[in-house]
Parts: sequence; structure tokens; C-alpha cells
Amino acid sequence: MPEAAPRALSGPEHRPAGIVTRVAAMGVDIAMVVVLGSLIYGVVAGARLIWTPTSFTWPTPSFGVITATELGLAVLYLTASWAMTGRSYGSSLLGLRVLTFRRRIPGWPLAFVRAVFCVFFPIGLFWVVLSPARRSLQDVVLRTVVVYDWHGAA
Amino acid sequence: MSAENEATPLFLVPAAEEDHGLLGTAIHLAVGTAWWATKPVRLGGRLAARAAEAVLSDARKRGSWLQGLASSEDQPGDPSVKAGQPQSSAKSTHKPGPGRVSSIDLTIQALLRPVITRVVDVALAELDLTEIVLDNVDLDAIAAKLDVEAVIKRVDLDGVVATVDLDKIVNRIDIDSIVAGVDIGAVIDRVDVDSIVAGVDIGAVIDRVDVDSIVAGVDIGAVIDRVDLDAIVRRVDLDAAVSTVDLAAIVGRLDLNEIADGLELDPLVAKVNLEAVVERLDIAGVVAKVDPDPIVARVNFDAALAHIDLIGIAQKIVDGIDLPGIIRDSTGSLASEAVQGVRAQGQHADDAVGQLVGRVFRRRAALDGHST
Repeated sequence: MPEAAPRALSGPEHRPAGIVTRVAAMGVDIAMVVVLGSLIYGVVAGARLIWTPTSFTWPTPSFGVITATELGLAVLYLTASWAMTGRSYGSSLLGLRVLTFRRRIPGWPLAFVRAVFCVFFPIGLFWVVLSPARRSLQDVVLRTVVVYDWHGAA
Repeated sequence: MSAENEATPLFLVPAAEEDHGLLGTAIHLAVGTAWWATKPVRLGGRLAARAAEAVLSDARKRGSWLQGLASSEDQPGDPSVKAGQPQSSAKSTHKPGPGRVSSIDLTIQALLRPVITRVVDVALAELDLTEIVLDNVDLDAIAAKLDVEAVIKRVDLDGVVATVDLDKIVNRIDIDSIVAGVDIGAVIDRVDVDSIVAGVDIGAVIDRVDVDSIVAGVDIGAVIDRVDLDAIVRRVDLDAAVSTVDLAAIVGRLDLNEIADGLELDPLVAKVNLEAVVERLDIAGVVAKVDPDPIVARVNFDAALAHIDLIGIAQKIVDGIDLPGIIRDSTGSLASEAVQGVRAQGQHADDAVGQLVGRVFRRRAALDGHST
């Protein structure tokens, strides 16, 4: 069940966002995922230090594990962010919000599908440049839209 | 006839009461007839007795030698007293006096006394002396000759009064009715109070009054309790009374310093609503009239600062300011402004890219965000 937006998001101030702000938001989100992965790595290393302090060695996960972990972390992070508030930390920083075509907060399934789509096919974001309605391939396929939502906010 | 009617019952009544029979009636009739028949004899006896008495009296008056003899014989004493004769009998039979009885008189008395006594008794029983006196005696002439003053002087008024039971008399007097009948107004009108008061020596009266003993016996508390002071005070015109008081003179005689020394100001000040007083004060006006320069010039700031814990005060100020909060708010506002700038710049960049792409693909500007 899609969650309703906190207020009306259909005015001229809430027009679809362009490629620059969305790429900037994506960069911030990537940095956030990297930071979260690093925190997870630190937690695991701390746990190992506490568990086997005498034979402690820094964990050396393989590239696949790191990649899988980061991708999974990115999917979870984006799903939770979009399903709860419609915006990740990067979107919040740049004043963006993900909505359905009815201008509502996407539900958990839609958010999960869109997160998977964005993580494993990030190049689809650049369709915004070519799209007259500033919609990425994810938006076109899942009928979502990313709008500006920072005017009037403190 | 009157004497007969009066005398008859003396003899007939006992017989009539004792026997109401025929014999009694006959006896009664016989005695009455005898009494009536002997009336001339009894009248003759009375006349003889009176005549004998008159003769004897005349003989005593005429016989001077008998008077002298009698006086010489009376000196040893009164024979009648010695003989035990009652004095009253002598007085009733001998007018010259009880002390002048001669031997002849004694003889005559011894012979005639029984007869005279009985005759006189009968005569007194038959005669109504009161009527005789009223008919024959000129009482007015007698009264005119009486020396009333001498009689009054001879009366022992003290003895008479001593025998009177004044309490009983007073109890029988209805004072209420007497007072009710008295015209008090008329009595008061007849009293010359001015002359009475003029005759009173007020000074002597006052000198005789022991005021101290009177006051000592007065229960001042009870008197004060019975006095309605509220009613008295209500009737007093205090305004008029106060208007006659020379307050200036009273205040001039007061030693205000001494009064102020005796006052205990702490309880009075505790009752004062200082907040209300301060609210009514024109503090600004008072401060405006104060010249601070001479006051500040006299202040020893070094000594004052030496007594002040400036470090402690500064610490309290810093703690009260919440400096970390201020820094946090300021940095937050700076971050918010930076974020707003980033967002605006990003939006402009989006529009610029959109316009660029629109020119390349010959789109209308509206699709590239020119609506803003």
C-alpha cells in the first residue's frame, strides 16, 4: 500500500529533478553505502577482536563478498529510505523526493524493485537527460518520478 | 314611765327566762304590780336621800369648828386608810377632800354609806345622766372656761406615743392611694426651691462628703459594663470636637524623637506592602533627579571588585549562556544555508543541462524547466 506524501507535491516547485541533482544525490548515497559498509567491516573486526583477541587479524573479505555486501547494503538502504520517506540521505541533501505517478510515497515492494533496478542498472539514470519529462528508465518502467522538494523547507 | 320601762326588765327577765309557765307569768305580773305600786315609796326614798345629803353638805359648810376639829384630827393620818376603806368611796361621798375627814364624817359615813351607796346605785340605774347633762349643763360655757393649754401640758405625750403601735398604724396606711391623691405638681409649684438652695451651705455639704469612701465602694467595672460607649460615641460630634483642638500646638509639644525611639518598627514594616509602595513610586523620576557623578566619584571600585568573585560570576554567565547551543545553532544555520545553496545551484544546473539538451534536440524550453 503506497504511503501518502506529507503534503501536496504537484505544484511548479515540485517539478521533476534534472540529471545534475540526481547524479549528485546518487554520489552522496554511494558514499553513504561505502561508509555503512566500512562501519560493518569495523563492527565485524571488533567482534573478532573481542572473540579471539590473541589471534586477531583484520578481516580480508574477497572482492565478491565486498561487492555483494555493498550492493545488498545499497538495496536495503535505498528500499528503506524510499519506502519510509521517499528520499535517501543524498536525495534529502539535494532536496529530492521519489514519488509514484500519483505523487505518493512508494510502497515497500515498489521501493525494493526500484532499489534493485537502480543498484544493478545505474546507467538507466542518465535517461533523464534524454527524457523530456526528466524520467530515468527506472521511472519509466516503474512509473515513478523524482521531484524537487526543498522550497519552503527550513 | 320611762324609768319604769327601763327598770322592769332588770327584775323580770331572769324569771321569764327560767319559767315560761303560768306560774311564771303570775309571778311576773305580781312583781310588776308591786314594783308599780311601790313607785311613790321609791320616789320618796330618793327625795329623802337627796335631802339628807343636801343637809349634811350644808351642815359641813356651816360648821367651821367642825372643819378645824377635823383638820386637827386628820394630822395623825387618814383613818380611812387605816381602816382599809377604799379611797374611791371617800372621794365619791365627801367633796371637801379625802384628807379632811372628821370623826363626825366618819360616823356619818359609817351610818349612811350603805344606804347612800344603794340609793345612789338605784338612782344611777334609773337616771340617764348623759341626757340630764346634755339637757341641763351648758357645755359651751364649761368649755370656754377650760384651760386647754394647761390640760395639754399635763398630758404625757411621750407616754401616749410610747403606747402607740406605729408599725401597725403604718401598715394600715394605704400609701399608694395617698400618693395617688397627691397633686405633686401643685406641691412642687409651692416649693420655693431657690430659697431652699440659697439657704444650703454647699461648701459645708461638700466638706462632709467622704468622696474617697464613696469612690472606693463603687464597682467601676460594673458601671463601665453598663455604659453603652458605642451609643455615646455615635452621639458625639467628633468633627466639631476635633475642630476645636489646636493640633499644631499639640504637635509642637510632642517629642517626636522620643516617640520614634520607643517604637518597634520591625513589626510595622513587616505589615507594609512594600511592593504596592514601590509600584506607586515614580522610580524613573527619582533616578532622573539623581546626579550619579558625585556618587560614582566617591565609590572605591578597587575595593568593591576585590570583594567580587568575578571568576565565579563569569562561570555562571557562561553556563547560563549555553554557548554550545549557540554554536550548534549557528553552524546549523550555516549548514542549512549551504545546503540551500547547493540545492539551488543543482536546480540551476539541471535547468542548464535541460536547456542544452533541448537546444540539441530542438525541444521547447518548457520541457527543460523554464517554467520556474
